[in-house]
Amino acid sequence: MIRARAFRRNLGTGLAAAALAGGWGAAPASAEPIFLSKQYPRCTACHYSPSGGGLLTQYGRSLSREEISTFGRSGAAGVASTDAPGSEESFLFGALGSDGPLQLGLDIRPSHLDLNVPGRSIADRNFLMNLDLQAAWQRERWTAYGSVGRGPTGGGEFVSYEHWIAYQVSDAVSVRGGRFLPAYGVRFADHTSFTREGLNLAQDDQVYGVEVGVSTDRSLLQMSVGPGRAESLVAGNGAAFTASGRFQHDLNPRTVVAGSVLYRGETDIGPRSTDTGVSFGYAPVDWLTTWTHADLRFQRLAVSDRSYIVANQTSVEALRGVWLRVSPQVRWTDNDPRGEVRRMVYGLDFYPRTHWHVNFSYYRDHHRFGDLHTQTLLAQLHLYL
Amino acid sequence: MARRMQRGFCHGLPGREPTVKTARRRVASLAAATLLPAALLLASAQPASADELWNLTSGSVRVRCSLTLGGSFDATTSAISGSLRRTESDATYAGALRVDLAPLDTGIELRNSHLRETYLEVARGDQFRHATLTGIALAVPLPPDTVRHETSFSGRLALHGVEMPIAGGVELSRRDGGIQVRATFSLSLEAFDIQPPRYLGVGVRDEVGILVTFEAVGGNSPTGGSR
Repeated sequence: MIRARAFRRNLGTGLAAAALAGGWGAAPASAEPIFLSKQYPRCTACHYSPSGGGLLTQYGRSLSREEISTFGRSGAAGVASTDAPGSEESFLFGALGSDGPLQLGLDIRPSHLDLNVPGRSIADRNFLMNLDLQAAWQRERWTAYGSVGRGPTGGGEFVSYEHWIAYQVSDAVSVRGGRFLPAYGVRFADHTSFTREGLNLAQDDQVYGVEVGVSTDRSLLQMSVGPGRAESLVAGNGAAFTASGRFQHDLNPRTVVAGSVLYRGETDIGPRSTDTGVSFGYAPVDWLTTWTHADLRFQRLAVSDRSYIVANQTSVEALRGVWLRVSPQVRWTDNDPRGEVRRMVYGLDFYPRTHWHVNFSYYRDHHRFGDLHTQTLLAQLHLYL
Repeated sequence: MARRMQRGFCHGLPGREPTVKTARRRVASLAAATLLPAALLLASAQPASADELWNLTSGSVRVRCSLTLGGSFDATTSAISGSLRRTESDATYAGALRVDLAPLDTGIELRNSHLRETYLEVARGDQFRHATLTGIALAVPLPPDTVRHETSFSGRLALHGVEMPIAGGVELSRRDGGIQVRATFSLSLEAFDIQPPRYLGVGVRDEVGILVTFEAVGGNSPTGGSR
């Protein structure tokens, strides 16, 4: 009982510190697995990155206007326009045109965070979660991609989360090298979800490596190897062999199953670990998408060798451009009750106009050991220019 | 089959009738008993259901389009209609299956408008708005007493103002006096003079897969079928 109380006190302090340091915050990636309901089972339809997130392609920008925003679509009576260059969805509303091989994007996320931890007084925070410039240059079979922006701690330092070069070897095979987030499971837009943060796949967990992708009509295989987590390498915490593999099979354009594995070697700050996961995405109708991911991690810890994560995210398009989101999540560790957390997330995503995304997310976490309940409200305006 | 059902409904019930009528009935029964084997013999000499007519009651068409960058999407419609009559060759069907392409739905409006207006050009006239399958022939005819039957088929598809032969696989199942059909085939967009779909770097591969499913009931005259 005393241990539980101490845990509760320490956990409350930790959560408060994390919130104050901006650790919650963060840049949710722009990947939208909810668009499985629109028959987009692959990230590359709308994003330059094969593992999703980041800068949108011209096609993705067009979709963000014509199919996502409530009031943004062009033409009368919903008749779509194909006037891509210089139109509303382009960089800075088309001020610079969009025909060239260089594509730019500006990601800005002013946010409001309200964290409620019992026994702790934590002031609400208004802050600029993201300010990133993203660029992609594409010519024939080559793509160069990079981003630069404020660091995740908001301390004023700049960081390039991703920078890589890709080469399309053939219609089916591509290779890229540089800094990127390895393909694993399903990439929920919320980087604080257990399947991302809990697997060290959050906003600054990119790796340096080389990735090979093999894509067919119904399957996608992505494999990568590299010397380890990019930030750890930059900070001089030592290299650690990292390898990942993800195989996705499209049962049909609305039903997807994927298996993933991610191996990380031992570093100065973490033990060797192997994550294995299975993801299942299903969209029975064009306004409903549900994704479920189950994960098992093997690692050498003092108390346990195995930990587990199960998460679901179900999204419903209530109106055009208005998505309701529910996401139950749980994680636990064998032989260590302190590791069990149950989370419920309720979210609203509203896309009133091209480039505008208003996000409200309410998180309710239950730390079973110590019976601690915390609530977090995140309100965010995501401007994608 | 419909005729068989009609015969079933025409069976008379026994009752008390005048003697003369009873005698006439006996004569008629005798004649029937004599002629029946001959009639059955004649019937067996013909194809099992040479005049078999199927009217579509419901169905759907799914066009699976593979994207150039991997993955695929489906365009679907339930606007299929038509009727088919088995000819004396026993394996070919007269009549047509007709699909209205204007309601083809891909799940998002942008794709729908591009598909209908830019590529299928449904506004150019009836030959562009509708796809019509005629001259359907089964490699192996549907046996009279078989519940489920798989074979291959061929036919002629008129699409986008071009008529071409097509071939594929088909599965036929008898159910509740009707028939369920599931046919698959693929076609080349280029062969039907449909320009390669491309939009902002994302394209559809030339070969698309078609799945046609429908239910039909036996009938005496062609009808309009489903919507």
